[in-house]
Amino acid sequence: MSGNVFIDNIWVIPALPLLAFILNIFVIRPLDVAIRDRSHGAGHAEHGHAEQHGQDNGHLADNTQHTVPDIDALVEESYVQGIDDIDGHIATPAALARSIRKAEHTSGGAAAVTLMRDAESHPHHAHGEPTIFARVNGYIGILAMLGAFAWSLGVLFAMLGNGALRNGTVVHLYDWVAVAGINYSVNFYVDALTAVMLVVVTTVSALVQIYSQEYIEHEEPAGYSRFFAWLSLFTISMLILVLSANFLMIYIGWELVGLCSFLLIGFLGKDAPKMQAGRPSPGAAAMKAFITTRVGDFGFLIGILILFTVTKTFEFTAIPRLLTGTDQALLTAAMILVFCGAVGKSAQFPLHVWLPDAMEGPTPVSALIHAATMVAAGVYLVARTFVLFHQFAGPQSLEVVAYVGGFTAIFAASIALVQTDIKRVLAYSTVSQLGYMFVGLGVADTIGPGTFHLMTHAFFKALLFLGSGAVLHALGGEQDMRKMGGLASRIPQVAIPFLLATFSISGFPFFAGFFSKDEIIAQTLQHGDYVLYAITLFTAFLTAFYMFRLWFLTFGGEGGRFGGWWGGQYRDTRTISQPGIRLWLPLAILAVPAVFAGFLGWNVVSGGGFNAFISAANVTPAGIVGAAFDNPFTSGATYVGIAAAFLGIGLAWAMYGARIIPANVLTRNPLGRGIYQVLWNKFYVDEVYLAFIRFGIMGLSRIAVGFDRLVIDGILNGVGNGVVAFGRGLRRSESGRMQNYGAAIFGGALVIAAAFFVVVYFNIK
Amino acid sequence: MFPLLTTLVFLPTIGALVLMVGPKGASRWIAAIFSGVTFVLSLWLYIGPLVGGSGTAGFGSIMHPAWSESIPWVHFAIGTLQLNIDYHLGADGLSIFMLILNALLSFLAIIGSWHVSNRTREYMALLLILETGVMGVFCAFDLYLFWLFWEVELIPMFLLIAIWGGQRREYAAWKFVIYTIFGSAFMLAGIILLYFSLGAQNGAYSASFSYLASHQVAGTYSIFGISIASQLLLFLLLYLGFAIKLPMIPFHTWLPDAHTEAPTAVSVLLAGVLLKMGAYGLIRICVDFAPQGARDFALPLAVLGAINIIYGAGCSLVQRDMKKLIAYSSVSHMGYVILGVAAAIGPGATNPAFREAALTGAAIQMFSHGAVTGMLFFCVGVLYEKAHLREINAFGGLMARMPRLTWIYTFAIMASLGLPGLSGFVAEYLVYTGSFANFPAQTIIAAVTMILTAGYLLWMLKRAFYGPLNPRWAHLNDANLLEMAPLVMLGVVVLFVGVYPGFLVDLLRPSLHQIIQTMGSLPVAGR
Repeated sequence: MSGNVFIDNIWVIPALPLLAFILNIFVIRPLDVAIRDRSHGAGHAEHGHAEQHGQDNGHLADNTQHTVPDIDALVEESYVQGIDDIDGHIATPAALARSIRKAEHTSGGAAAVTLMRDAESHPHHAHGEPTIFARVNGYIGILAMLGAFAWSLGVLFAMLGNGALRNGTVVHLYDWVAVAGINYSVNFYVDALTAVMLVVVTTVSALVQIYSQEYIEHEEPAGYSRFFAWLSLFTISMLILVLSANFLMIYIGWELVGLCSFLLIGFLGKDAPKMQAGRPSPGAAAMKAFITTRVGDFGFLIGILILFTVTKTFEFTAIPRLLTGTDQALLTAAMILVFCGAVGKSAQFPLHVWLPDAMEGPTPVSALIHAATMVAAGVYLVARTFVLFHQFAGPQSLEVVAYVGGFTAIFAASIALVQTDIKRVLAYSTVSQLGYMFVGLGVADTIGPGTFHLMTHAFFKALLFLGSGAVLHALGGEQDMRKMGGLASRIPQVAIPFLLATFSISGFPFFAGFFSKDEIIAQTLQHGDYVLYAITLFTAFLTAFYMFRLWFLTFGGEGGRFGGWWGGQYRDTRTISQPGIRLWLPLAILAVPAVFAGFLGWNVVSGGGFNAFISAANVTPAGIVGAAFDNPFTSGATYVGIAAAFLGIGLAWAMYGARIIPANVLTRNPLGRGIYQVLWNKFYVDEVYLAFIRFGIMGLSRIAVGFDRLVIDGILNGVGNGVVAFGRGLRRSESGRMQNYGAAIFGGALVIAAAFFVVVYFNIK
Repeated sequence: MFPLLTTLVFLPTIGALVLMVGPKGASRWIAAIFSGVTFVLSLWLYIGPLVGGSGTAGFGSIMHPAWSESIPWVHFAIGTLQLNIDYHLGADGLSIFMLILNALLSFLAIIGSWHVSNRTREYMALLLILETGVMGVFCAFDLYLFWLFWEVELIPMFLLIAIWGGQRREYAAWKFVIYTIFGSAFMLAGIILLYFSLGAQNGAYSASFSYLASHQVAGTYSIFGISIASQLLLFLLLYLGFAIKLPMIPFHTWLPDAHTEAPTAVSVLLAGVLLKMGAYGLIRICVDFAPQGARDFALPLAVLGAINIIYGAGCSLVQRDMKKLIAYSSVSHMGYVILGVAAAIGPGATNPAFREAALTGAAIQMFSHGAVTGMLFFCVGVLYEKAHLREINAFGGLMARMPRLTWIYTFAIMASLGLPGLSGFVAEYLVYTGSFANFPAQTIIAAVTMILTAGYLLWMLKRAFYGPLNPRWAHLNDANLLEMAPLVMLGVVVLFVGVYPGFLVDLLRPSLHQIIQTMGSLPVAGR
């Protein structure tokens, strides 16, 4: 007990969304369904576009996807032609539309039908308006989130005022199970790290809920209540995760956010896969996300089991005390296994494959879960257990963290270079930025840089996703950047915050992303790891490039003002609908931290800075408490980083904004084209996994079933038939096979048993 | 004192008799009332000891059960051989917990069979007789009586599958019976051997559980000149019957057939309580009466448990029939019980707290699997009643027509794949954490399986419920209130146990603690 009212009653924060959730599903949603049923006829609750039927015949095939799965080569060709159109500057709207239409018509099969239907019907899941009860559910969810946000601010300010609180307080709720001296307790833990996470999670959640009102009302009005219920459920789970005081609770939160991710990715579960766009169905994407993260959770669980078996406790605060004298190699293995959980949840290589597909969820979900909060849980996990990595496990454990992060950063950034789906570019960008965070945790001796980037990234990436959602909304669900362009002058209220966030993620000086990313790059140098330095620096360049490629393709381009920076030619004919205030206001609000949060980390401005604050958390290894970082502008390396960012921005402008360099400059030669194909196909990782599942796991499973049927049942039936044949031969009985079969076996068994008894019993005498 | 246990055992049978003489049209109601009253009465098993004042310790263990009723029954002697069989019922924490589960599931099975129109009266009567048989198994405190009830349960089960089953019902029913009888023959041999060995050794002949648990057979037997530790042989003989019921690989192939052919309610009971008879027997009979034998067999048991878990999951992955998939998932989930028990009895100087955690996990898994698999079978039953099909790939997009069923099915699937906050997670997590110290490799195999479990269950969900609606099913209606009732009731139980498992743990603690103490008193690493 800390004596602080906010901290001692920390359960209020998850309890508020829990209340909203319970009210939603047990009280208000039934009313919503009831009046919807009355207006649509009974049994038609949430009746989406049931008229659709596609070829989603349930093979694992649509779980992973090809360039353009299940479509003949001709279409593939014309599709690649389309790519050339965008990465060259030959594209005219008419030519592009022609090439895509050609692809639709020549493919002939279901895929083309699907695409045409996508194009025509996409946001028109719409069947009227959400009911009044559905809207009330939205308001309750938002109110609960605002309350949780206020409470989180209370916790944060309490810690700012009283430094002792930052070390952490354990709040015991109840014992889940207690057996013979081992407790499985439901405990919360509040320290500086928790406080930062609470503020980030509740801020983004509240803004996303406000935004979702307008978004979902167009996307799927029938599911309005359900959407808010699941957003609340997600927030509860995420809050449990960040508040957990032990490995039991963090694992519970960990799995629950996975559930919510599953439910929300599959929110539009009635949709078919969009084969032509290489997009899986929401149901397949949801399943893939859950199962892929479970692969990581398996490692996480084994890691927990090792620590638990050694220490007999789950508590984060108690484990370090009890670990002294334990074999370091064992602990290294345990922590690498724990990190596996982070690899799955934070979509690091080799378990990154689910995150791009998760973009099939509605865009607010992508912003909240798959950009700002849940995917950062892996980073949070490593930060939370940092002392175990740093102090108890061998140095290899943090090296693994840093190198997996570094490799993923450059790997994902390279894929993002060529993607044409706006949400997928952002998804790969998220994977890449999460990689940065792991580098930050891996090379620094404190959790400061990694968690700082987590925070700034949460703001600017949430903004980018919500902004892309506003674009989708404006264009009636179009996600293909080849059909965008020049939107800045058409929807400026979206474009301005989006541009600010793009500068932030690209590391433009004085923006939030600049400070947090620069700190990580500087740490790799300080750590003396030149490989990671080169990787992170080069990735910074790539990031600036692909983010501004996205900017120019979407908002700027040919004919735009300031040399293509603002507005320009729009490459499609669809009318653009203007976003309402509930869509753009959250963007404007998020723009503030996305631009200015960086100064929190700069100790010149904020007295010790973010790092000093968060390093007071109990997870920091002894002796390193409160390390502050210098003014970045005193180091020459900072200017190298700025140069990388400028280079990326400049190149993107030259290729896609001003069109000075033709965009197909690299794809003209066979080598470039080959590289392009590999990147476009995401290094074929999905294909490898699919083959492994099909031929490895499913193959073994088929063998197991065959063993059951042929060997075990074969013996059984063989014995049965043998006995029957024997009996038949003996007695010439024709009284029915089944009865003989049974009687013979029963009798036989009894004889065996009796004989057995006699032999054994009379032997003991 | 009111003979509560006897009432619980025979009230359903009385119900069956009333059914046969009562009006034909009211058979559903009669069955529902009798099983409902039995369920309400069974709750007193839990509440009684608590209000009795001795708190959670009052549930007692095998030595001092909270509930006990005994009448002398068969007593005669031939020379030095005496046969003493008592009508002895008893219930401690472990029994209470299974008795309540059985009462609940039997009641829900009758509610869930409301639509059965073919020979309703006989069907309901057999369900009630089945309830009697299973009740008897869970509260018999005399080994011969136990065996009697064990056999009694077979008859209604056989008839239920053979008469109301699917196309291959006769094959499935016979397979079920033959497998079970094969096992129980050995079990009977084990029972007789145990009884006479102990009698000869101690001079007192009794098959009462408290006597068997407090006296252990020593020495070795010799069969055809091969010498084997008496307890190990007893363990194996007794266990064979339970292994088939559990079911343990390679004695599991009756289960997918029986499940697939049985009507919905029977599948629910089969998975919910009949498999638990095997698990109950393993803990109550094998481990309690032959602890040293159990310890000697712990390592193979753990290996078999791990194989059960992963093998069952692998088989589930390639099933096309929903019921068969769930049947194989039962094989996989029951493996956790085997692994948990093995870890609790395993060799090595393990901290007793780990043993107790593993055994608690195994026991909670018995309960959790019963409730969760019950839900899954009810869900499939609802679907089958409407579509007359269980082929997963034939569905698609049912979400659009059946939102209620979709969400309750999702709930059941999440519970089955071990989602925290639901009962399956409690059980699996306790088994994992408890057994890792004793059997790390087996535990890792079990943990890998959670990926496969998520795989086959979510894949089924996705294929049947997600995606565009298959127009063939555009006529389907959502589950109605009667169909939802059992699902919701089980869902509440699953959620409650998942959030606050403490009340189950309190119920089980005295019983399980007794076993852990016995295991602790054995010499460590004798072999």
